[in-house]
Amino acid sequence: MMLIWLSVASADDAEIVRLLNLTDDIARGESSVATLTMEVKTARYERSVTMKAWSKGTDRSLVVIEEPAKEKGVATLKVGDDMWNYLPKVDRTMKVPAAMMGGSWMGSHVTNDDLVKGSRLSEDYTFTLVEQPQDGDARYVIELVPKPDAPVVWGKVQVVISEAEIPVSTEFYDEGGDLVRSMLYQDVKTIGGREMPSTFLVVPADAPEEYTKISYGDIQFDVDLPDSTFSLQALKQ
Amino acid sequence: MKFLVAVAWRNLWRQSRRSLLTASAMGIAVAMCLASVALVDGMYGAFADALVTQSLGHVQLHNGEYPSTKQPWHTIDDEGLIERIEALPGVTGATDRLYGQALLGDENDSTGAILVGITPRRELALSPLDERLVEGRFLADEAAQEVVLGKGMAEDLELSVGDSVVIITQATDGSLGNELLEIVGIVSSGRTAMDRGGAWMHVEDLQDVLALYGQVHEILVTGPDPDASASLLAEVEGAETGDLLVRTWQEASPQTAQMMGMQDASMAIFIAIIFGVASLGVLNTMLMAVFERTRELGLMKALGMTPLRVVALVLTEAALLGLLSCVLGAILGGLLDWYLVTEGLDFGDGLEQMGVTFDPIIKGEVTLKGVVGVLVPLFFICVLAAVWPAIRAARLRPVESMRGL
Amino acid sequence: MLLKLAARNLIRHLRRTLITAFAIAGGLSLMVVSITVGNGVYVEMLHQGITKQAGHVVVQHIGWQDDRERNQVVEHAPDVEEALLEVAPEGRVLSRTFLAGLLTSTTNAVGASVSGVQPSAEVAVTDWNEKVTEGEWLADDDDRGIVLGAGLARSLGVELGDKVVLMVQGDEDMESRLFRVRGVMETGSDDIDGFLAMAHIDATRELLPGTDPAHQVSLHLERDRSVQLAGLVTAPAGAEVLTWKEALPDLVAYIQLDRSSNDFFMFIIGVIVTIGVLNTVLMSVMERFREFGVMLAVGMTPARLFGLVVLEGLLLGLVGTALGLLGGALLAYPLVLSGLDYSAMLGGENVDIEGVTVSMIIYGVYDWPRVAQYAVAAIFLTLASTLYPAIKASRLLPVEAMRHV
Repeated sequence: MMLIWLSVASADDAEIVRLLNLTDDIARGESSVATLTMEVKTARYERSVTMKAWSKGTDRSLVVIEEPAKEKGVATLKVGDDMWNYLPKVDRTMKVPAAMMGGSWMGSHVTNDDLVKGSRLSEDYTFTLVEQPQDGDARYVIELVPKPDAPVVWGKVQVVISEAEIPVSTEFYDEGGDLVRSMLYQDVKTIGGREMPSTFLVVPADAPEEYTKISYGDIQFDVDLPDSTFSLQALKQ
Repeated sequence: MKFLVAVAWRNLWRQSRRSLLTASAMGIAVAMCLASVALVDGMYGAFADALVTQSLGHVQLHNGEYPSTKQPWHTIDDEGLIERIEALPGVTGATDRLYGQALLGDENDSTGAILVGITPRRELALSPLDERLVEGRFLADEAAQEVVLGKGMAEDLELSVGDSVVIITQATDGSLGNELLEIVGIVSSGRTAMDRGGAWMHVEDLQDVLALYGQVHEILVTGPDPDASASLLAEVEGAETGDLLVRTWQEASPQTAQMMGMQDASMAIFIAIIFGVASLGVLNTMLMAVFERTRELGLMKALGMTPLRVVALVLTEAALLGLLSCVLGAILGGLLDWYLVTEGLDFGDGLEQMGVTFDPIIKGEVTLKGVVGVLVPLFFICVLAAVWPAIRAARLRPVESMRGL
Repeated sequence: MLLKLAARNLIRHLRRTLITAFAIAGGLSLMVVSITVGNGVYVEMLHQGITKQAGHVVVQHIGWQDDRERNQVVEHAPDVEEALLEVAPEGRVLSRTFLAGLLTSTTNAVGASVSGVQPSAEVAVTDWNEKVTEGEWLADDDDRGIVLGAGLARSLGVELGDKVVLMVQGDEDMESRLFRVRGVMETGSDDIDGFLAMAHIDATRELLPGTDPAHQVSLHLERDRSVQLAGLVTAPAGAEVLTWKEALPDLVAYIQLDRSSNDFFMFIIGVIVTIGVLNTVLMSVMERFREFGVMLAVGMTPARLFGLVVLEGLLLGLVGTALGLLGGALLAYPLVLSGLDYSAMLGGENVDIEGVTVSMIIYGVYDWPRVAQYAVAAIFLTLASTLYPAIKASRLLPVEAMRHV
């Protein structure tokens, strides 16, 4: 009896890990090249930016802004544990220290960490499956608590995934248990051969009229990308 | 009366050496006071110009929230306003400014800098920075990614005209504002904060960097007289300022108003001290002059002069002496004043007050009020100083006084 | 004998003597009070400068004194601290870093000077923790905390607990570091409050090259033995040892300048007083020609007469100076004891000169050396003013003199 129980439990764990990885990697592959638009609306300003994003594995990530002209060429690069912002007009690189991974990326509601996917749900958190489709609502709900040394600023995270195994939302709570922001995955389409949400909407809990919306124009997965693409020298050209 | 004056006059000249000596001594005191007043008036004028007219303007306009919050998006966005203000008859100049702060530097070193975005021709009309260039030239009329640095900052960062600098800041739309600028000039503005850590650029360039298109943080307006700021304010409000906060410089910077008041007060104290000491000198001199003549006065009484007449005589002599001193003092003082007005005094490294460094050469300013304010009181002190000894002399018994006391 | 005669002469004309003596005394008292107050300001300024911006002896990278560049650091600061304590075990040592960069919050970006300090060691020497008006001073184990000047906090729109990011130019990349606001302080100077922030030195070290770097390691003493001690400390390679005078040249220069300009004003007052004294002495001599004639006729040598007049002047000077010193010391005493409260005059704002905040209550500090200089000058001047009259007296021809009225 015990043995069966245990094997069922571990099978579930592997399942959950798979679902979490799915959430983390919904817009990633072995490698990817994507075109995105980001709209930011806050109480004080509205901004719209189009950019191109490359990723390779979990270690390399590059985002370059293409529009508006004023911000063209501004880039964010992650290689391993290091992250930089690059300003082409003045040819300056700005190192983003680990402590600031939870900080806003380019004034949006998206954090540096979100952008480069530095942390991983399946690795940096301990998780509990709270709800399954069998329970009635056709969805998986997983609660996550960060591991002690994890480089994340949240106190708790709650992931909701549809029965079709497409992420629906991720809610982020602070150490006091209050909701800080919600990430909603919307407009499911087939892009780059994959069925995925094409819109990622981040809404801050304390200012629900504000949001950051990232929309994927197109993605190509598993493209051949040399490591040299992900370097400061490549940026400076 | 005329008789009295004639006798008094002759008395004075009988003891010509003593009289001249006394008059000269008092004359020097008068001259010193005249020179001090001219210097102080000149200093005050220089202060008023540098601290008020060039730094604060006479009337200031801001977004209602800006003065208390200093947040960059509390701007004035009425682009036609400054032109309407410039058209007002009582306005001698108006300038619009946008403020920002950024990291400024080259590959070797950067520091936090205050950026002031201006319309060059307007700013120069109010505050002739182009006359204070240490190197290079001022900004061009059109926006061309140029910058003029404060002298201290250029020295700190070891930059000179022709070098490029980078500015990086947080724009109001959340993006990282950044720009590459060419240094076209270096200035010693006299405003400490700007010289040490400030830079001027074209307002349009700064508007781009901060994402505050078409907006400014403040408009400064000047008229002919800093003390007439209230009436200038009334006129400016007539240019449809909407719900902008319009203030006189005294309202905007009560510390400066207080400072000017304090300057006024401390200069008044200074003058009072000089006067006090000069008066002591005059008093001293007059007292001596009368006391030494006790014998003579006793003689006059013995010859029949009434006590009252003695007093009158002494006072008349004192008055004449006083007049003579004032004349001598005015001549010497006039020479000193002329020097002060044309050459001025060089205070070496320049004085610093409230964040403004003044031209080390302070020129004197001679006003009617100043001159009269010196001559009249000192004249009266001359006369008053003679009162007590005169009364005393009048009371003496002739024989005793002739024996010399 | 001559001395007795001189003294008696003065007493005989007591009124004149006293008036002249009081004139001298008045001028000198004024100078003493002015020196005392001025000195009080200097002492306070130096105290603030030495404790907060330097130390009695400091160790810095060669060149940092002038260039203030981020990477001009002294490495292995704890070792340097030990070396300093070896030569002065009774002193206290501090390591500090000084960074200039851009502080950003979610709403604004402001240029700031961030000082990295050792929290409890720092406040054992300075009073920063007493200036914290909101929140708390830094704790020794808090390397994420920052204390902001009130103006800085306001410009950034942050409150206790909020995050701010410091951006500086690193060696290759621009570097940034996150801090949380732990406290807000008011130094008393709005200017300084607008750009000063303090953080744990370890936090700032992440933005600097080298091992355990500091921009300044300073030794603070109760009694100034800086010159001897500076010679005893061996600086590590690339660094230099400076006394506080060398480390704070601007402050020292300011004080010199202020002293000189004070001397200048005192000079003017001195001239006026001297003229008065000269006048008095001259007249007193001239009035006694008859008397002198008699003395010469009965056998006094011209030389002795000269000496008599000079001696009278000397006594007069001594009495006047003594009275002046006493009067000045007494007048200044309340200022020494309870200080002069400037706040009414300046509207409650502290003054900052050369980056040093001068507190509102200035305690007078006697500056005996300088006062002595002035006292000697007073006696000397009095003496000098007797020379001409004394010469005149000694040249008298007895018969003519006796005929004098």
